Amino acid sequence: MEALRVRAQYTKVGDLRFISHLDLTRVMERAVKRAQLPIAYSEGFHPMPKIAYGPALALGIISRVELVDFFFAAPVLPTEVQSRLNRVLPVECRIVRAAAVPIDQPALTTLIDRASYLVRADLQLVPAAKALPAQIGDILERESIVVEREKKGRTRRVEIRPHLLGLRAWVDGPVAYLEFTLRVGSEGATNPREVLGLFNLDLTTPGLLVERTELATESEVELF
Amino acid sequence: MQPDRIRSILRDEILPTVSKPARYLGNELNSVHKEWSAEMVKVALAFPDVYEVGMSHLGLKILYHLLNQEDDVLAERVYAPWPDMEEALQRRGVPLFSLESSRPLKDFDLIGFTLQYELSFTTILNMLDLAGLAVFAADRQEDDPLVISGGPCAFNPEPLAPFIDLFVIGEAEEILPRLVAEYRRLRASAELSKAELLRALAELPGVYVPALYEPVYDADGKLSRWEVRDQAPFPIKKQVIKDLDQAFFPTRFIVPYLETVHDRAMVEVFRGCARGCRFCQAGMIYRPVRERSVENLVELAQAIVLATGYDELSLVSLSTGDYTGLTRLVEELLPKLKERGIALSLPSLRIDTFAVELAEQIQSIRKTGLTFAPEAGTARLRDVINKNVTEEDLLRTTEAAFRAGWHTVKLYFMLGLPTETDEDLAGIYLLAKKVADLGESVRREIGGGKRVTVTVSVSSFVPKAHTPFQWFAQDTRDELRRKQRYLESLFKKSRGLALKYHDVDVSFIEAVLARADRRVAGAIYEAWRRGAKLEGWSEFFCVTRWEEAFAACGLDPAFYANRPRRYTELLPWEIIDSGVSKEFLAREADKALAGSKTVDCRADCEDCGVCPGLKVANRLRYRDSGLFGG
Repeated sequence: MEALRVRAQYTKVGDLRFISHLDLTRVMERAVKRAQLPIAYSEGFHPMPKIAYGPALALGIISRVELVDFFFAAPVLPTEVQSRLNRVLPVECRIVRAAAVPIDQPALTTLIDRASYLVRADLQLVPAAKALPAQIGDILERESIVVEREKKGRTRRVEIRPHLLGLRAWVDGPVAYLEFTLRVGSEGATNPREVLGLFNLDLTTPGLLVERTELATESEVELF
Repeated sequence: MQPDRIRSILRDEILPTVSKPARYLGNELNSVHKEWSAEMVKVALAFPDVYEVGMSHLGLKILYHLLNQEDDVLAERVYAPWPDMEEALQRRGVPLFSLESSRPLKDFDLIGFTLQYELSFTTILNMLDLAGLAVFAADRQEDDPLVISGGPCAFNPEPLAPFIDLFVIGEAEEILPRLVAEYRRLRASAELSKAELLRALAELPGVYVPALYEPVYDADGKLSRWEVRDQAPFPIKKQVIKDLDQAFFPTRFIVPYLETVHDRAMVEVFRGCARGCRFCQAGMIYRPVRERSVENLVELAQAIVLATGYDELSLVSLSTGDYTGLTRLVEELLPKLKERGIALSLPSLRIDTFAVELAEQIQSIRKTGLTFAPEAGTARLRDVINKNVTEEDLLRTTEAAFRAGWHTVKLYFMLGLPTETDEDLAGIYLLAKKVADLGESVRREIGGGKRVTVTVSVSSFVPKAHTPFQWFAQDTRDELRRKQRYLESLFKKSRGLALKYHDVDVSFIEAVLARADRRVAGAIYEAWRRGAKLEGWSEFFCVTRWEEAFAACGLDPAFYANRPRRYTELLPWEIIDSGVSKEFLAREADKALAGSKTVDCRADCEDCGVCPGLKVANRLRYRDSGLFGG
């Protein structure tokens, strides 16, 4: 039985960008165990701690705005959840905010429907990124943007234009910036890789640092 | 290359582009990062396989924390890079580095490779090369690190002798701290050359410096004697811990980000195994049996789960069901773990009806798979190999398991055991069929449930050094393939039975390396030069490379794999004294041929020589458990 739901905002920065979302979930579960927090468990043969995450962050991307819900079997103060977890989590993964939320609120993956990203391109390593401000005009004007998506060896063509909610680019000294907001969630969506692909860039391009800067919901629910 | 430079190239250029970059981070929970200084003795602990395999290995974890306990010693880890990483490192001119401090391996005083399986040998050469070190010890510089090695394959060190400066024989907890202390003393006390340093270290018990021994061969290619230089000790005696409760065992284990092969907390309940299966090297070289006390294990287990946050704890040993304190331990541990949501698992449980009850009690073994290892298909052949499992045992246990809800059973067998005939192979099929039929009748009786499947996994027998079967020939590859085809023809007819077997070429190369002499080092070098590495991964194993390598060295691999030896022949690994006497092994080989069994040595001493030879004894904690000699 869960008595309390605590939402936490956490960072995944530095070297932790090189661990997958699945690896991160293990880091979190083990931290909860080591902090000896009264986490609730699922029923069944192999009880699992009840921890529910927001949309997964792709390997290689950093973030300071990730969200997770912990379900506890006994009352515990959100501030205590934060301080006890921060004592055992790696420094690159810090709980920066924690608050109780209604137990019956929809899941984070249902709530969150948009995500914003900021790409920093080191012009010494990616000189082509100088052209980003010129390129975005062309992309924003297009009514349709079709990308190829591979799944189980099959290639599908997918329309992503409606999911691209904002796009901005500028150059500041030795760095070019690209900022965009995407629709995320179950019904059709796109991801940062596909957007970068429009500029012939990839998450693996040396000299790029991609950060998720916001997770938001259009619904009336307050995330915090 | 400076560590800061390596780190920045990694973060900015390499890690974003390689698969599983978390393998190379080095900042996992509980990893030890020490300040580098001149006084420190710096040890790189190397596992010649990729991170997920190496990080699953308990022995190296023990050594890592044992060495790091000392203020003036630091130990860091290094694993084999996956080929994409290797290529990236070479492209950027980055030498192989340690995970914790990103230091090139060349900056260390000692590089220690653990030898867990023969097919990792070429990876050792590859890692030395990636570190910018000469692969042959004789070609390395005076100020290069000492390359040391230990582990089960060090019980026949000869095929690696030209590459390694020094082997440690036996349990490294016993030897390594002494070796490091002596290294520090010698380094500080005088201007010794590397050769002089090695000569001095060779005086330590359990240390084998191969350069001090020159094998001499007969005209027919057999070993005739050793030329021992400089009155070096001969033979080298295995070192063991006498009391495991007094031995170091870590609690702050490193917790990997990646899912590793064995991704759980572990406590070692005992070391050694006294069952005396005649094919089993571990059962011979890890003697005697030394158990930890329940109190010690409970304390360790609790500290480990608290320090790691793991959700599963494994009780590990060669055969956990043989631990005299098992019932007591499970009773004490289970409630303590349950309240924290931690599962208990017993991976090396010799499956009997007791084990099925235990498994039910702890509910930790998923009911999807249950594993038994009868090893041979007939009672006669099981007597030959001294695997004391009867068909009645197996059927009674599987029946209990089926009734308890299991529906998938895996049976492990070996092909090509000494004296094996086609009748024994048919026995594998008949036994599997009986288990499957039994499963079906239980299913009908209890009314439904999933159809029972029995998977039979057949490996090819590899004769190992220091075992009673060390004198026997491995079947030729043609014969092993014929036997596999014969088995296939039997299994084809049957529903609910699946047959799997191992690559014959792999077993053949293992057999060559397991009983190789020093000349085979040339073939290992030639195979590596032709691209051999990470050969434990089937996609990287290539037998043609080995065949070319043997030909290039003028060696006949069959001489090592397929040739029966006489008891009088001097064997390359006799330079190592495992404590188990040659007389005992020969007696066991004779008994094997006569089909006569030997009892577990905890019940009756068969005079293998270990206890008097190493001044140790079996250490059973709970003789009142009724398991042995009650």
